[in-house]
Amino acid sequence: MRKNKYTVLFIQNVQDFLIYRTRLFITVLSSFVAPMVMLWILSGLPNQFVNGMNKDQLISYYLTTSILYLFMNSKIDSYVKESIQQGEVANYLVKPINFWFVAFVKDVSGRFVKLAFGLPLFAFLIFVYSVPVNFNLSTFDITIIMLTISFLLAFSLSFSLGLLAFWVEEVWGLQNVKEVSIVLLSGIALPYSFFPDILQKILVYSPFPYLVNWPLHKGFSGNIFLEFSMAILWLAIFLLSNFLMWKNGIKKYSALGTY
Amino acid sequence: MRKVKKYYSIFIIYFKNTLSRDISFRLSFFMSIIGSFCFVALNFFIVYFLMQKVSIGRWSYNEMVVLLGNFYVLSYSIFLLFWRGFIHLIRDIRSGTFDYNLVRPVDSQFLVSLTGGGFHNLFALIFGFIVIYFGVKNLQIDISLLQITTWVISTVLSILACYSYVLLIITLNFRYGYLEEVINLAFSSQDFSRYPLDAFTKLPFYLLFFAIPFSALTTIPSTILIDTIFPVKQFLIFSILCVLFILFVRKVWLISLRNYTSSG
Repeated sequence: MRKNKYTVLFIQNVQDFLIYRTRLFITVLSSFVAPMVMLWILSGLPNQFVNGMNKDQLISYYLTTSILYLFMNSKIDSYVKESIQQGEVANYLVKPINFWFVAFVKDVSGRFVKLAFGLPLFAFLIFVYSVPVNFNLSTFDITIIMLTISFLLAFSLSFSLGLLAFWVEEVWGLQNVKEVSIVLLSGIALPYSFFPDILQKILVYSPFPYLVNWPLHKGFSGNIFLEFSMAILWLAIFLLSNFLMWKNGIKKYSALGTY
Repeated sequence: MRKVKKYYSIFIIYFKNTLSRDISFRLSFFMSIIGSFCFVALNFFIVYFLMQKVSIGRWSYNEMVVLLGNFYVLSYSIFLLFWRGFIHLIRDIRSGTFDYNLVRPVDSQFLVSLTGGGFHNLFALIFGFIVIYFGVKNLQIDISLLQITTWVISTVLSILACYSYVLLIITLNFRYGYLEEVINLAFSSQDFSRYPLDAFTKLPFYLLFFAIPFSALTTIPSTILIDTIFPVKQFLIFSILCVLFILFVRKVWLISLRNYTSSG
C-alpha cells in the first residue's frame, strides 16, 4: 500500500528527532525546570494553603502544566524563519507539497516525540510526590476537543511569527516576546489566581489562556461558552493570517532568501 | 603584564567588531533589545505577582527587588559577554571549525568565551543596576565603601562562576557529540537565581546541591547590600568556593580538549 506523502514525512521527522536522543532528553528536562522551580518555592511556604490552593493542588497543577507545556509549546517559528532566510522554502514551491502541511507535520512529530520522552519523567515526578491525577472521563471528549484547538492555535500562532521573516531580518526579538508572553500569561509560571482580578478578566479575551493548560482548568472564566468562542475565534484569526502572510510573503520572496 | 595587554587588545578588537556588526542592522538591533527586555519584564512580573500574594522567606518586597536587580546583572552580564560565543562554540565543535581556535596563538578558552558578545543586552544590564539602586534607596540603607567593594567582588565572582557552569556543561559536547540544547538547560537553571536561599526549604535533598549554588550567586551579593551586619563568613566561603569552582572548570576545559577531534 502506498503511503501518503505526509505520513512518510512524519516518519522521517520522527527518525530525525530520534538521532540525538541525549539532546531530546535535555530539551525535555529544560522545559520542566521553570514550572518545577516555582513548585518548589510555593510548596516550601509555611502555610498549608497558598492563595487558596492546597499543596497537593499546587503540585498537581505544576506537574500537569509541565507536561502540557512540553506538548503544547510550538517551536515551529524557528524552522519557518530558517527555511525562509536560508532559501529552503524554494524547494517547496516547485514540489507538489504544501509548506503549511510540511511545517505542521514537523511540529506534530516533534511534539509527540518530546511527549514520549517527557511522560516517563512526568510519571516519575507523580510517583515521587504521590499526588493523585484525576482524569474525569465524563468530560473526556470535550478535553480532547480543547487539546486539539490548543494544539492548532499554538501551531498557527508560531507559524505566523515565523512567516514574519519574509519582511523582518531578525525575528528573534519577537520570538522572545511570544515565549515570555506564553510563560507569563498562559499560567505556566503562576496560576491565574495569583494575577490581579482585572488582568484575569482581560486575559479571557486574549489567546494566551487557550495555548497551554486550558484543558486543565476549563471554565476558569465561569463561562465555558465564551472560552470556546474566544479560542475558536483566535484560531480562525491565526489560520487566516497564516494564509494571507504566506500569500503576500511569497510574492516578496526571492530564491536567494529575503535579502 | 605584556600578556594581559595582548589579551586586552584582542578583546577590544573583537568588541568593536561585534558592536559594529550588531548595530549595522538597526531594526534587528532594536528588535533584539525588545527581546532582551521581555525577560526583564517576565521576571519582574513573576516576582511582583508572587509578592502580592505570599512572602518568600524573610525577604520583604524591596529586598526582593534588590535580589531581582542582582539577578538581572548576573544574567545580562553573561548574555552581554559570553552567550553568543557559547552558541558558536557548540556549532564549532559539531562542524569541526573549532580547530581554528586551537591553532591560534591565543588561549582557546579566552577565544571562545570573550569574543562574541550580544550588545543588545547592555540596556537590560544597565536596567539591572537601576533596579538595585532603587531597591536599596527604598530600603533607606546607608551603603558603606566596604559594602560596595565586597558587592563588586561577589558580583564579579558570581558572573565568573555562572560562566564557568555554562562552559562546564558545554564541554559535554566534546564527549557526547552534538548537544545544542544544553544551552537552554543552562538558561533554565538560572531560574534558581531569581529566589533567595531560604526560599528552597522544601526542596528534595538531591536538588539542593544544584539549587543552592545558583541561588547563592544572587543571594550573597544582595545580602551584602541589604544586611545591616556585614556577612563576613558567608562572603569568604562564597568567594573561596567560587574561585575553586572557576579553577576546576578551567581544568575540565583543558582535559575536554583532549576529547576533541577535528571531525567534531
